[in-house]
Amino acid sequence: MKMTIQPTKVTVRELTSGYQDHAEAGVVGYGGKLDIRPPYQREFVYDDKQRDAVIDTLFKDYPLNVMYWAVRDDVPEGDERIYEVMDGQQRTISICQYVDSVFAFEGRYFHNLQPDESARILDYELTVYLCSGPPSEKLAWFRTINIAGEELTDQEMLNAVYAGPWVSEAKKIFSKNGCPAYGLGSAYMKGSPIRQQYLETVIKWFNDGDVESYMAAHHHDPNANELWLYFQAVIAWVNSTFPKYRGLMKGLPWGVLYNQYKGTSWDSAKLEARIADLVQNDDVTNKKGAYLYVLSGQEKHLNIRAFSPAERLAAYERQAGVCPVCGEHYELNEMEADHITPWREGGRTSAENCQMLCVEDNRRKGAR
Amino acid sequence: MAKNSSLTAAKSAKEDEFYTQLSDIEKELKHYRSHFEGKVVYLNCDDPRVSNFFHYFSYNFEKLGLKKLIATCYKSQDIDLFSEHNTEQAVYLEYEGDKDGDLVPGPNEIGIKPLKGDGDFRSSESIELLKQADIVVTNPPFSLFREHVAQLIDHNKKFLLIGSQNAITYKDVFRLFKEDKLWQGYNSGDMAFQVPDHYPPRETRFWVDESGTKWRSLGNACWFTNLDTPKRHEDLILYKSYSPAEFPTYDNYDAIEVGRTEHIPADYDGVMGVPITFLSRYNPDQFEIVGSDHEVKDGLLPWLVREGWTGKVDRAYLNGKRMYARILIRRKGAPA
Repeated sequence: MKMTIQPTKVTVRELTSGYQDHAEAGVVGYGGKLDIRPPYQREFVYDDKQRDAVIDTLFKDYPLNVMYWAVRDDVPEGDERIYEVMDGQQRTISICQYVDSVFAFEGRYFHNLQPDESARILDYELTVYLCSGPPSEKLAWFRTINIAGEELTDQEMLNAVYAGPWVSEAKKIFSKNGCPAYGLGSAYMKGSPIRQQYLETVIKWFNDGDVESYMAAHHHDPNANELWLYFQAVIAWVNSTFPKYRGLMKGLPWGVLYNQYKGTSWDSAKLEARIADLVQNDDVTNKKGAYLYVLSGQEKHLNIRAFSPAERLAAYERQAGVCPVCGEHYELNEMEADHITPWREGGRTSAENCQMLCVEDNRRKGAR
Repeated sequence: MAKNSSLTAAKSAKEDEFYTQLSDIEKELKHYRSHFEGKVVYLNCDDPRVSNFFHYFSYNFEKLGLKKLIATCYKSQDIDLFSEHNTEQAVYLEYEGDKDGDLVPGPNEIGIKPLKGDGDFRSSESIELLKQADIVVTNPPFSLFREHVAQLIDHNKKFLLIGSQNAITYKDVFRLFKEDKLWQGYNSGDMAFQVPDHYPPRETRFWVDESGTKWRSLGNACWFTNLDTPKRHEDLILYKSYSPAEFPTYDNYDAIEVGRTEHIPADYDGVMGVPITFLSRYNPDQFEIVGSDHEVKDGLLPWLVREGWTGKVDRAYLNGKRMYARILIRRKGAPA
């Protein structure tokens, strides 16, 4: 199946017919055929001024920017919603609410307008691009148009393209203000649930960074229990492995660590003692990395402070330019600084613990 | 001009005359449209000359299918407030819909009738008007909130009122929550109100806009109603499990401490203490309100005091620490 993009004109009369706002359960219009806001989607975010600007545009008969609707490729039986608003949700809701007399513009509600005025509003034509095709192609297209349009996050686009019961259920858990995932994990997570950052992060953890194929595979699942159980397991593991909470723990890749290290039995008291030590160590310039380091043993996470030029020069002079491993003489710029007692064995980044090795011997030492 | 009543004095002294913005009224009222068909709406603490409530209901008269709109216009005060409309005489307004076909309420369509008194909602004239009404919608003076609610309950009226969330802790108001005779509406939190020009500036929550209008705001405004809404039948999603470590039992009450509403454990059968903001998400099908710390203090819930406890019961205490105000709830259907 090839993707097609078809421009069309929709009048305000058509757009607002059958408009219904079911709050959390979603918003529909266009004779019930248009899913304006799927359940648990981002709430209406226009403020009164932006909303009024849209209505002002209609009154003045100025053109509004193009809107984009997706043609749903798999509409369940009994579901009339064959289109979904991809770009233009806020403008569409503003127009529908105004025509439904939810708010007044310049003191008057829609039903207070003179017949010629209301007819002019209802006859106003919007330009809509209808986009149909397989989800992956739609997604590529949305990513492109999104550059120009209202800013959607990648996850918001994925949610639209893979709309269905799985997405609705996942949003209920991961994407509302005060949602269960936020309640459970906000101490450990960065980002905003409502901008879909929680959902995106957790899918990435679960599926090794590949969000799209996970969503494609679960498009038709009746619920998102798998992901929710996984997230609960991650948080429970973090709680039991690192019972003492520090602000440093917010935003670490906990799911990735859980995936890799959940099988090992850790002594949380020992881990805590090492972390307490690391966060006080001046050589550690990336304190957050302490958590990754105690699990992986990789010093790169700590961003250990390098020897200063003065420390290097002092060691070079002390050695009279001779590499202690091979006994040859080198220029300063042909040598590299090395911890005499390795850092992991307690050696510090200090003048006394600095020696200069020739490049070759230093590489060889590092590789041991 | 003569000072005319204790209410005038109270209103001036308390500075609790706050005019609600039209958009705040719209945001709440859109959820109740179906309740207004064929009804008489009474705005009984209003000033139709400046009130956005009057604007909302008169302009939406046909849309909502109202039968009649009544607004008492409190007698104008001696202070220079909206002076072009100043009047010695309190009046009430009646509107029965658009008659001349221009689709908006016109001056000739609004009946203005004099009142003998000053238009105070407690006056006998106002009460006679209240008896005609089905639904009262208003923003009563905060200092008279309690009294206003009591009047509406006495007369068995439906209502939709703006108040401060503090009102929840008033004994009489809380009892209505508990008896399921009143609940919170949709919107709560920050709300800005226009205030009369003579109100003095304040350090916080006060500003003057470019047209010179004075504003104040409340951080804990909320709507109170006894009109049913779908919102109050939505279950709160619970995801925590009970553990004694996370939900310790109070020193003095036979109940556990739940510091945040969304942390209510899904599997605890006993009584739980929750913050008062719980009420904005209270679904009577999901939880029952057992009482409040106030009520324990007043000796109304003796069974909630832990056996052998001889210390204070004015609030819940946890490891000797006095907690914030708590509402005591229990999961509906939990074995007693």
